[in-house]
Amino acid sequence: MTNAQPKPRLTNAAREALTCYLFLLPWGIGFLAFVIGPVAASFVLGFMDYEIVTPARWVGLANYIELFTDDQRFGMSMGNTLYYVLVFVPLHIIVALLLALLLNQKARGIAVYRTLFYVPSIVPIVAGAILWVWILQPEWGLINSTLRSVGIEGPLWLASLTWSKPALILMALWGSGAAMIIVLAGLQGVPQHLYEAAEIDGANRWQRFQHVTIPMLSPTLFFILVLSVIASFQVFTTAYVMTGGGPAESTLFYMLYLYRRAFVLLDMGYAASMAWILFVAVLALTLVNFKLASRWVYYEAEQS
Amino acid sequence: MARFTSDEKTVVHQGVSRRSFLKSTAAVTGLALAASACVPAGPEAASDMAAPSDEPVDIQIWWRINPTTEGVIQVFQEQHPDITVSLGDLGEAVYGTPKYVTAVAAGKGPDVSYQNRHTFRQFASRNLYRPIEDLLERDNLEKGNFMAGPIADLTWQGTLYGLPHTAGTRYFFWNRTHFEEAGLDPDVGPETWDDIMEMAPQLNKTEGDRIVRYGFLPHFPPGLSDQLLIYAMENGGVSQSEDGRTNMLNTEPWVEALEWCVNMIDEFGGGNAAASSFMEGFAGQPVDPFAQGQVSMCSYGNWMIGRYAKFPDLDYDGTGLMPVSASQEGAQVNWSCGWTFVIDPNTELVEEGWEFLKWVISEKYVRAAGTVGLALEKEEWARQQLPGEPIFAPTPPVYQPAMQFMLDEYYSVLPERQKIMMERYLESETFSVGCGQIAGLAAAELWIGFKNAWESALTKKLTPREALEASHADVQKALDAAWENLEA
Repeated sequence: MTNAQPKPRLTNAAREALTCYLFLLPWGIGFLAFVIGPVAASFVLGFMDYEIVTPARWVGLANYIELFTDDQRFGMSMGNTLYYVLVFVPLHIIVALLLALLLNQKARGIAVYRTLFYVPSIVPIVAGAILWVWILQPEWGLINSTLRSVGIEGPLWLASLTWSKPALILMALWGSGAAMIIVLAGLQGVPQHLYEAAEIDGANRWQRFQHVTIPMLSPTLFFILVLSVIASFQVFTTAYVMTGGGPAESTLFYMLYLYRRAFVLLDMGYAASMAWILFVAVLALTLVNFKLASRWVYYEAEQS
Repeated sequence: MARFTSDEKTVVHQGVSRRSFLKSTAAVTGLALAASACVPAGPEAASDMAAPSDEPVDIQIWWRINPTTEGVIQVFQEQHPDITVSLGDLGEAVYGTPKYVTAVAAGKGPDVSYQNRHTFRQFASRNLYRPIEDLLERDNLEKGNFMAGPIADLTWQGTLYGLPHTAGTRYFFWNRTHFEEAGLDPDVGPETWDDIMEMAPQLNKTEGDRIVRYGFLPHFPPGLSDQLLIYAMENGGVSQSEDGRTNMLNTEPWVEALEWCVNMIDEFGGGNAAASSFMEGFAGQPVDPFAQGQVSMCSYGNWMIGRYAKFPDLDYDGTGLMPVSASQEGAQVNWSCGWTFVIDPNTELVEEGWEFLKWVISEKYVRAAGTVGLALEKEEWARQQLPGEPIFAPTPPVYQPAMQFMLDEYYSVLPERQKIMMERYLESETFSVGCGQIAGLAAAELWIGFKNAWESALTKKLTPREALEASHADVQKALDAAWENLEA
């Protein structure tokens, strides 16, 4: 006679998987409710006339058509944003790289210098913005006072049509410490023997930098490039706090205009369509970046 | 990472296995989530239910959070033991009120909120405020006992949507010491634009090529973006047609006013670069260049009558009768704005909210705010070691009995000059146009339009006419859409 054991309803693996999903459930619910839900809702709202306080009305492609054919500010704000991206991103990478090279030296108190350069990147952005309003103040701000002491009359900065965007870029570069730390970590991961081999081959300092440092750092630089491009397209807080989009809308960036449409003019449907255009533009640019990466980014693992 | 011996592993395994640990934790988490979903959501859910009669009802009020408001809320609660107040900050609310709008749209607005009148009609037309005609009638509150302008501002299509709390107009100040130095009569300010153009160069002070004291700068105070409005009004400009459907920013009075401002800066302000650089120096500062004696005449607001008193070296005077262009000579011109209390259209605590509204416009509030405010002013006076007694000129209320109390209690004891200036201000409220009527249904776009036109013309990006045409087009588009939505 055999004692027939009751067959377990779930295998161990299935039970473990179920437990795992139970653990994931709270996050999953949050993700669906607070990320996927609003994203999907914004997509639908993009096809609606929705003023927040009145019922939404289906208008099809009208918002998108108006954006591309009848909204001067859409082009202007995108132009302002592209200017910011094109000037800020390369400068950001260069500044981070130069700082990292400088702080990669074996010098006394180097940890203090690294900390000092990193600190601005953890200053709350609004506090930093207010500080920079004072630094950029044309009459007695730090920059113009310094320039005046060497006989140069500084510009109006935030009050100037020409200098308002460079002023915001200058302020953003002040926060390059986070990128600097990433590059510094990358630099310290470059194997020493590559430099020694290059030196034996007769490479000078510049050639070692060009043919060893840069290729070995390229994945790090690519990472910073992708993140900086995405973040720069979303520049908002500094312009909101420091200029409010002025003077004469010279710092009306895309996200600031989107915010204005959504929360000042209560045109939420229109703002939703703007958000999707930005999403598609940034996604396309990121894909292009990844496509072009194979031409200049060196991954050691792939080579081996 | 901790390393276990085989014996220890057995103990660990026998104590709580990984699987049973995961299972029990998941079960607890699940139960906790389920339980939390079943529990009513605290005060918001509680506010939906009828409160027991012996428990005070808590109302949420979005106002400003500062020592004065906290002090008066304390007094209100003492006088109304059946009501407690949760005070929240309203956030940005002068040229729009995003926090309030989104909260009300989500059905989570405060029971009572402070609101500015700059955008009032736009939001009233979208049902963001509860109409209060029924409550007003029931409690026999006479509209005639309020200043007429603010009541008109808060009325949309014949219905009142809020109770006005404070008011304020533009005010023209001049520095008496500078006038005397320049050989001008310190008792008489400019009455026309021609007077300003004659006086300004006499009051300017230069060091080399540089102007170190400006007789008059139109873009005053630093950072304010709606100065254009008062100059256009001084030239006979109106912002919209009588039916509220046509924006008038591109009409001649506006173009001439903006041209006059640009010319003033070019001719007597050393050009926009120099003047803007000078004014930018004061942006975000607690003191302005008039207070510091670096500008001799300025167009600002009546609330500065009391604030300028904190500068002992500043001998100032002023009027609520704004200087006008030659074509408007003799006309009484000003615009008025201020703050208002409203009731959320979705709240169930209407009675408690209304009780607060009635209290906050009354002399009881003025007494409470005055007591708190005067104590703070005395502290400030002592902290700054200012000479003499504090000059305390609180914001004027709009309700007549409260104003009478204010006059008797506070304004009557002001020094003679400030007392006269307050009288001139009160006089200006009688002929001022309210900002709610000025702004209409596309208010948010209109205030942005003023700023854009102003900056574009001053920076020479566009001519005044082009700048105003551009702003007009933006505002008209928004106005058309607003009417279309309303009628749909």
